[in-house]
Amino acid sequence: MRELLRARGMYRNFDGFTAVQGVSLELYEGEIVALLGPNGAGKSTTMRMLTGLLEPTQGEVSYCNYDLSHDVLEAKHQFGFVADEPMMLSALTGLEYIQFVAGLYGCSSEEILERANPLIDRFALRASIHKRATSYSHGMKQKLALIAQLAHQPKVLVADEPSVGLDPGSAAAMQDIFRAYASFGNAILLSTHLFDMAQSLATRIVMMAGGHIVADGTLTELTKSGESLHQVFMRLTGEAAMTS
Amino acid sequence: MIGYLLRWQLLFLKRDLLSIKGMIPLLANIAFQVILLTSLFASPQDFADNLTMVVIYASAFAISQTTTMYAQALEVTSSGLLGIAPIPARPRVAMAMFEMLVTVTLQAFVISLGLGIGLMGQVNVLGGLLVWILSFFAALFLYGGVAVGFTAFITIVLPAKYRKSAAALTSMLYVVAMILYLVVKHRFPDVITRFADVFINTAAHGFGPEGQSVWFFGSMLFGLVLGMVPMAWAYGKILLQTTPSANTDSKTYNSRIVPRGITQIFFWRERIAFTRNHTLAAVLVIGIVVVMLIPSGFNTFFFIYLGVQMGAFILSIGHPKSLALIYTTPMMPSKIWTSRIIALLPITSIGTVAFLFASILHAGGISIAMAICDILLPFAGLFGVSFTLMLDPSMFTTTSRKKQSIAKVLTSTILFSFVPLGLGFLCDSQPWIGVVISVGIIFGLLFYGTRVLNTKKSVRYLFQ
Repeated sequence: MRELLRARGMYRNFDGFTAVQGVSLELYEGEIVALLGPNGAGKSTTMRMLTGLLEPTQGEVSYCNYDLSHDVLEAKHQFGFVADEPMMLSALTGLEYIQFVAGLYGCSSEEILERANPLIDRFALRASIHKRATSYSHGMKQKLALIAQLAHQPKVLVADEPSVGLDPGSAAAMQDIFRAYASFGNAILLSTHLFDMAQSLATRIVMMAGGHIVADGTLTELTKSGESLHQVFMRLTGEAAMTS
Repeated sequence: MIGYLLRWQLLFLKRDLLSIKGMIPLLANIAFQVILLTSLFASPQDFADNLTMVVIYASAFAISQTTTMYAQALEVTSSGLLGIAPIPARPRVAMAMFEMLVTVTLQAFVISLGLGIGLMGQVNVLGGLLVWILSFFAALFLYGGVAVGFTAFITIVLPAKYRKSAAALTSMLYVVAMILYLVVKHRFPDVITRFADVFINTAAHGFGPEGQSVWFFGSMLFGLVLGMVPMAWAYGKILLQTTPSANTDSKTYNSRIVPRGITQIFFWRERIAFTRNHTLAAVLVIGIVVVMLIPSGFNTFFFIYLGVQMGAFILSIGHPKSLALIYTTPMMPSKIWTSRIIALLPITSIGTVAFLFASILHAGGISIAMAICDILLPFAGLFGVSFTLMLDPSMFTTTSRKKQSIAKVLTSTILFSFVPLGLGFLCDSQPWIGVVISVGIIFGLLFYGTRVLNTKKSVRYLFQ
């Protein structure tokens, strides 16, 4: 399988506090990786470094062999990012928002509409797609942000808690879309606090605590001792908290 | 409860004012007042005429700013976290009043100080000092009173959904004041002289017994009544007022097809924003009216002010946090900057042409050098301010590090107030030098600024 994302030895210091310590991560074609961790584990900092919003104090990130600090534009073409708080732009309707975002990646209007229309219907946004996106509910904004990022067809989708604010139907739709998207040879990295989603959706689970990766494996590998995923999580993150 | 809330309010205000984000509007206000007040020193022979004009214009501006601040503060205290908290209504009003008091004190201080200094130089040092003190308190009560009274009046008269427009309505006060001044000056010139005499005579008598001082105390009382009466009348309604926090715009728009190319996309987005948000158009119209009505000596400042305002829009595409969306796309910072500048060029050009046209009409003709300099000023402002904002990403975040904030406040004071003012003065007195400097700013930034933006790490990693 082709490696789509490679992060090596990432560290991040904030005024003497080390939020992320030596995190290394790879994502391969077809993978959906769930990033689990308690609050303050360093998940969001890791995601911000992976998306070029935050400079790692040490370490490197590359997408499809394009280094994010040197081959910036090529690397940025390879990924899309859905933040935990939907990033809306004033004045634009939902459809215009999707077109604006995907257009910045060089997609034509026809391409964007062709890719976005099925997702708009799947997420039941058709009725409000010509209304201002800033007037949407949180969940609707989140779905819109997701469609906009998928419309430019990134090889890797990085999503920070994408299911927050989604109703059960939309959350299920999102999982189906993620599975289908990964099946086309793309990869998805998502952070979540929902164990059910991690278990049912992810092909691999990475756990973080205290800025470290404390576990990395498939659900079967992580639970082979007979413990549930929740128990493994509590044990590993608890241990990390004790040692830090 | 009032003491508890005001202690927190003080902390928020302190942090807000020490941040660049909070400082910029404040500095813009002060810069505008300084521009007006400098006219007192610019032509000593028209001192009395200028004094009346400056007091009226500066007061109209200060009142509209104070009213806006008070209306917004009232809205904040009745929405969101504060809106749902079990806080009695009286402390909410106290919080809004306190925030308004800070603004009005600052406005009154700047205006009265300018007046005092003007009179110290033209009339009498001690007299100027006396006018400074008296006019400070008069302005404080008058501006505050009008702000409170007008907002209360709006609360009674306008339906809830239009109350947000209260702040915008007061901006019109500025245009009304200017028209009123010009009409009175034309038809009743002695009224203008008598108004100025109140200040000049008070200053001329120094610290002696002053009949004129009655005017100042009268103004204070008038302000108090203006504020208290509508407030008492609307008090019950204000106390019960709640503001919906969600954006309830349910209008359906014709979604437009996006063009291809980054510059075209930004241009496309700007056109949509301009046609759907009428604030900018209204600001442009008011600006043109101001240029038409205000004495010619000030026109240059409006050109540079237009540029500064347009430059400030460089990253205004949504909430500051939404900028992450732009910074994760495959674009270098220089591309973001130049594309956004191109998107802002049409409105800047329209404003420049309209201002120039109004300026020529009003002055009855201006020199070619002055016209070229006036045309270049908005673009120099656009390039300079937008580049500064691109260069310092922390403009969009608040920082708790006091030392850093003070350094930045000083830098931004110089960049957003003194440099534009200096360039404006230069264009007025030595237009060709102004032209050379403006061209230097524009092309210097185009050639070297783009390289700086791409190599500076703090620009590339906006959300450090």
